[in-house]
Amino acid sequence: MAKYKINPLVILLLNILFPFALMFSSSIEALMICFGMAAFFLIYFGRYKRLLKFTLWLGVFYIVYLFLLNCSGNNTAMMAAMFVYVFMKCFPLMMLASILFYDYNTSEILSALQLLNLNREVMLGITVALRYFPTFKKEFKIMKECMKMRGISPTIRHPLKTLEYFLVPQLFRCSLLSDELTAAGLTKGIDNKGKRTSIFNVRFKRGDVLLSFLSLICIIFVIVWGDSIGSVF
Amino acid sequence: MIVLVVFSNVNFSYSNSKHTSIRNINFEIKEGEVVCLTGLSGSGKSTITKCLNGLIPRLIEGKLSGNIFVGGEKIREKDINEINLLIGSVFQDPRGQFFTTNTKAELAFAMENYGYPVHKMEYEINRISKLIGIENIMDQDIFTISSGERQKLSIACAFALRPKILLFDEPSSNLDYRSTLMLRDFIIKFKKMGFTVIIAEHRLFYLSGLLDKIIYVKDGEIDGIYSEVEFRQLKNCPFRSFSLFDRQFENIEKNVGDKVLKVSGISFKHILKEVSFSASVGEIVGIVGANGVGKTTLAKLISKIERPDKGKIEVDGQPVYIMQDVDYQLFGSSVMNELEIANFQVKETDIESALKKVGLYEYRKKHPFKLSGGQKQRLAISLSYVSKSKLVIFDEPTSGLDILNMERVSELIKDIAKEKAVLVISHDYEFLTKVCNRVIYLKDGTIEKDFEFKKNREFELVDIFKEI
Repeated sequence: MAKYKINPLVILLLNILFPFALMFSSSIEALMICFGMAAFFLIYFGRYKRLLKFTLWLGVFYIVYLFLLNCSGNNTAMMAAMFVYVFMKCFPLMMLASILFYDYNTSEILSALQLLNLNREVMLGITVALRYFPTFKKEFKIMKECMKMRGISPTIRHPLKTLEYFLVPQLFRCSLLSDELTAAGLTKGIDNKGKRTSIFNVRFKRGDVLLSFLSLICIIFVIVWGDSIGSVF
Repeated sequence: MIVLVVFSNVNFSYSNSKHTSIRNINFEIKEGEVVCLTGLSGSGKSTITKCLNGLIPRLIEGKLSGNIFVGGEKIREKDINEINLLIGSVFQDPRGQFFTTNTKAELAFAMENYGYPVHKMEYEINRISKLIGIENIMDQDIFTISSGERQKLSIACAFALRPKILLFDEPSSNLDYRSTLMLRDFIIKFKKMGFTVIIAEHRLFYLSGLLDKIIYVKDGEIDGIYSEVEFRQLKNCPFRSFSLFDRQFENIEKNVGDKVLKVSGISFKHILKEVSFSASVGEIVGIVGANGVGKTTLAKLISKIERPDKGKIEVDGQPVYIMQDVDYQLFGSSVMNELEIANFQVKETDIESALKKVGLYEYRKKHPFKLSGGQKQRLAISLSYVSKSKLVIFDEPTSGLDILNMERVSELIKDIAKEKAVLVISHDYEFLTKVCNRVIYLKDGTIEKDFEFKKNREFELVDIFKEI
């Protein structure tokens, strides 16, 4: 039997709910529950390596956080600790986002969004944004190589200059790419009126309902009892 | 035969320009014909294709007058979504025309937009992938397939809505020799199937013997409409040669000076194995080989972007490496500033003389991204004049360049070689014969042949190209 493909909307829903949950409960346990949920999805998609990376990094940040907390009386350290903690809270979000980026193709996400009856322009915006991320990653690498060759190394001492060398060419490339993409899109009927169909049979199936329901329960649990779990155990 | 496409007194000027981009364009194309629109870069051939597929005036604004008919109907009264059903477009750079990251999803994309039911899409995907021969790359990541396969995919996508006319805009400019011949085979196939094929192009060798009509565009006007035989006899039309391998080597003089590069036994991943060679001032070494054989990897190793797993590369300073896509290499806020960046010792007079040599002095205050493709290329080349390095590497310097720009680049390379050693990675036979005095042929990760260009030894390079 083919593996059940989770509707990307489930992951999108959870990714919208996580910030709420983590805003209301700030305990480390709440964060761990969310991390566990995100980890479940990574395991389901067989992305063990990625999960390991996320776990290790979270561990590193947690150690830094504990270290900073121990520098009591130092306001800067406390501020830094808070900053690190907020960043740690982003981990579950990043994990789910990585699934949306790497494990679904843009067409599937687009078809899933159609189920929401979103306006076509909004959907196109999302498609192009999703399409741009992998491209950007590649371009970034090439630009870093080129800067190195030209002897323009990114330095912390001249952040503005570095930003200029990175940003300006990137903006120009962006506008070139968007022109090319718009032209290609128009010749492929991207703004054709009428209902769009999808080659991927993306439906919201019973499994998806169940998963969303379970996720929702977990999230409610985190919101309501998230802060008190620590004291219970 | 039925007349399918008619241009009648078509004029167009871009909204931000005072000049008319194309003037008095009149021609007819019959059903089933293979027609080439040719001319220099900026002559207006691309503008004509955009008028035909409706991007002008739908996307590109400006003043359009005159009439264009396809199948007896006025294009201007049609929506672009109706035109798409008649004309399938293939653009120059496949990188910018994909919306999804999966090959099957991409092929389905246009059909999805037109609301095809799933079973019909599956049928069409099956039919088209067999026709184009891309069954083996269906349902794969677009970023992992080769450039030739990407071009095949973009041709397949043009077929998705079953158009009558196929419109190509410089389809060969990013292809190597083998993929270009593949393109030729496709055009032969489409012609037999009765499609009308229109190609805007300046490389002509792969179209030899296929063209029913050549429309020569010059400065925005049609200079003449010829049959292929008539066109070949024209004397004063600058165009790329029809028969690639007729060209003879030019016996470029070679005053070999100091040795500036020594590569000894380098290996890298599974790409390069024990590659050794050296290069001296005055040498212009063409590096040829099939796609993916490691030509660019070799250039990256020599330019110190990557490190070899084994072996040693001896070169003074940071060699100048001019990539195929020069857009990545320009960081300056003006043409002048581009040559100042990270090169503090350079004198203003040196910059000015470098810019004069490449013919960009009058543009010195412009932003590099405002230059045309050929001008950007020359700006990147000017970097080698202000660099202290004695080694310059070019990676596919002629992709997308017309004959005049190609000749200009050739002259510059020969000029650079008076004081430096030059390596040129290229799959452009015509260009190689114009500029090189030595060739290194890479095959299966090693140097298969390394020989000097001399008159009457052309067959060696021809054989290599036929093997690639």
